[in-house]
Amino acid sequence: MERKKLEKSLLEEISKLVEGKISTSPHHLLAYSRDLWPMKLIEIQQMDDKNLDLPDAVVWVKEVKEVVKLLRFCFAKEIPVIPYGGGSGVCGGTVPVSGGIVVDLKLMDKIRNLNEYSLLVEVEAGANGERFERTLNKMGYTLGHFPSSMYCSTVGGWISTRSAGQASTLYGKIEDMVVALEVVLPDGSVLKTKETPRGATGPDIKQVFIGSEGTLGIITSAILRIHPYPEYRGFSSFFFNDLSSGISAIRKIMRIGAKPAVLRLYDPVDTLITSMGTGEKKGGGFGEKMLKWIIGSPSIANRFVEKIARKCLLIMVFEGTRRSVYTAQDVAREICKEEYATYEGEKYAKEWFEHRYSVSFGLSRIFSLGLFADTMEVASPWDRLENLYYEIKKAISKYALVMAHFSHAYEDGCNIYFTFVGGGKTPEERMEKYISIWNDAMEACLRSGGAISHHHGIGLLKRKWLKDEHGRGYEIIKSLKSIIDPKNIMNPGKLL
Amino acid sequence: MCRFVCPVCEATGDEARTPTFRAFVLYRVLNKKTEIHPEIRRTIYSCVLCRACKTVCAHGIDVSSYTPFGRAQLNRDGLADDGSKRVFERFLKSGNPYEIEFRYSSVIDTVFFPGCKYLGFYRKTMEGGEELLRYVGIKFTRMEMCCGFPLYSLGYMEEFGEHIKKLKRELKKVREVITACPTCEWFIREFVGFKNTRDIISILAKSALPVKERHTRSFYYHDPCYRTRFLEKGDDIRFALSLILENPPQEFLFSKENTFCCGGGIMEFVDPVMVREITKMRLRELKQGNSVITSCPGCRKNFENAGADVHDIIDLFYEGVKGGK
Repeated sequence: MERKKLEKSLLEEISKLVEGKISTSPHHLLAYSRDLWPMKLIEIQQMDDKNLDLPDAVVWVKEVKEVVKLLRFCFAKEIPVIPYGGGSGVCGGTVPVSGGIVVDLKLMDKIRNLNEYSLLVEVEAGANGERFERTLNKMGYTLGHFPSSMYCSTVGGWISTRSAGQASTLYGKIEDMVVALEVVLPDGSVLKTKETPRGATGPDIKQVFIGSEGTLGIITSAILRIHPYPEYRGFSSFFFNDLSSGISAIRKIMRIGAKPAVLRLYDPVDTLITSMGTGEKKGGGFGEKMLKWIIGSPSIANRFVEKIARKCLLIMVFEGTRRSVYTAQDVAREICKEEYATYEGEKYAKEWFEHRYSVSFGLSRIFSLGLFADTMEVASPWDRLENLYYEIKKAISKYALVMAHFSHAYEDGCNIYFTFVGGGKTPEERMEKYISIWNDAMEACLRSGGAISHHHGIGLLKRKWLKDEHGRGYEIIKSLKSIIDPKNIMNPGKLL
Repeated sequence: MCRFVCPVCEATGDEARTPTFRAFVLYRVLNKKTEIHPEIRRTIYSCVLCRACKTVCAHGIDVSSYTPFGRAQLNRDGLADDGSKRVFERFLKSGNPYEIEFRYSSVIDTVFFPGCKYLGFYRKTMEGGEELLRYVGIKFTRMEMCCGFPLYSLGYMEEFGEHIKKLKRELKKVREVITACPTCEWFIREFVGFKNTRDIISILAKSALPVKERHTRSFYYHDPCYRTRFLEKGDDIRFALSLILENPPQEFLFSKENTFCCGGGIMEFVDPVMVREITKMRLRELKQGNSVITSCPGCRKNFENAGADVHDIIDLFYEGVKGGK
């Protein structure tokens, strides 16, 4: 979409539609110019404010009727609209590359209805994740969705990006939790999908919007499945002699159905860093010395760390009734024993649990040291998983220190979550390396048959590989977009 | 990551008013890296100094502790908000933001320091508290002064320093200070450096006062930020409440050291709309017919302004001891 600056008269009309909740101040435009995509953090080190992708205005909406009026107007005038929740995405999904209006939904944050009999909750899209979960907890329930961005992300953001939480192995991903959606479509009409546990009524229309990243409309509320708050939580930790036996154990645990809520198998490098106490559990990321050391020679650093790192840590958190937790823990322990793992008690799992959101604080420190860091989450069936791991690791390790853990497991496969930290003498050099990492790793992922994103989404970062990801399906998604949003006003330049 | 505990951010939904963005703006302002326009000014005034962001920050950053210095820069540059200037002018005239005419008593060993909000708005409560203190055998005189919070929070640092010196001089003759307002207690302890303080609620709770009648209504208890997060007192007040209430108070979703600010004590002069939104946010949990108890006159004022049925714990003690509600 071609970038045109919005005329003052249009902005005045928009202001009336949202009862004055609009800002065009440079200050707001800057605040809404990016999300938490690390590439934007490198860019900020590189450029001044004038080169950022700024929207024309930011508006705040409080009610569905405001969203309806706003979209009807923007559709008629062909004004780009970027829905905005917590801005915690890491793929540039809310960057206003074509200008337009950023629509902040955080004032739409009410719990509309709690249906305790059917275990359903209707919540507005702007509700903050942590506040929403705590409100449910107070009433004796949990949603079971705990992304690392929990403190700052919103329900609408979770749905738009098709997110997964840390306890997804037990509670499922966001698409498993959504029972119905309310979406304001680009032309201002409102789609309300039916609230039923399931239907064999043709394709599931709500699933089209889950993961649509704001390109098909604005999700304003959702009816979600909730669970009674778990009676008991159990923690288990194991050390495996190598990665293969660890992967084999988690595959068998999933196959037999002894599902933990959280399951994280760290590769040897990640195990070393986590168990050294400088990892995410302490919230600080890596040791400063190590970070500086890798700036110059990531290949040597990777080889060196691999030489000293051998063991793989598996942590599991089980939730449910005391009895069901004990049973699952026993079964898992037996399986791990078969793979020659040593049982390490609760320690590592409990430490992780206590600091489970701290990793999100670590990145700022890395950037303040003049380095860059990012994460990459891919997935594949069990039979291709190890190959996928080694191929991506090889692709990244030329440029940065890389480590990974395996989490979000299924009966048929698993997600691999890579973390990489790199450097460069100048912001330009860092940017070049960052781009090379993503190019090489995404190519390696596609060659190895992996999904290019397990739960972070596509945004701006991965859109160039989406066609290869979906093949013929890509054209179908594009057709859907052109039917639902023929004027391409919704979050242009993202996903497709 | 700290936005979910920030009252300003939660009430306004504004990315330019998050603690993180405020820190970014303060850095730019204090290092003269940006021109100050009205929205930047708004961000700098968008902090109620509740310190909630620090409680969840893995780096332990306390944005509220350097926000006053950003405001000081605005004052130096002649860009202070009109409301802030009004507070300052009033302070210069009367020694407090409410233009209360302070009365001076000769100071004895122990002083009761009610603070300007009690003196300006809740004299009856204050006098009830004093009566209870006498009832439990404490001899004191009242010290009518401001603790300096308005000057500090709005960035009038030079004048704040002078005011603290004055307080230090006054308190030289004193052995013990009894406070009613948690903000005053914190300022006396932290900035004046006078550590021998007690608050009236703790004294009443420990004094085995004969409570004739306990309140049977359903109440929510709102923890003031300064009492729980700054002074780290939380549970003692629940013991005090157990003496005067038939049933334990209901807890807000965010309580004790994680309490959610109801709007702060001075920002009503600068951004009353924001304060009202924050208070409304706090009150959202209340069901119809519920009342709020608090132990801070600033919180009480905010709740009253938002139309809530709010009670001061001192009044509840007084009614319990004297009988009749």
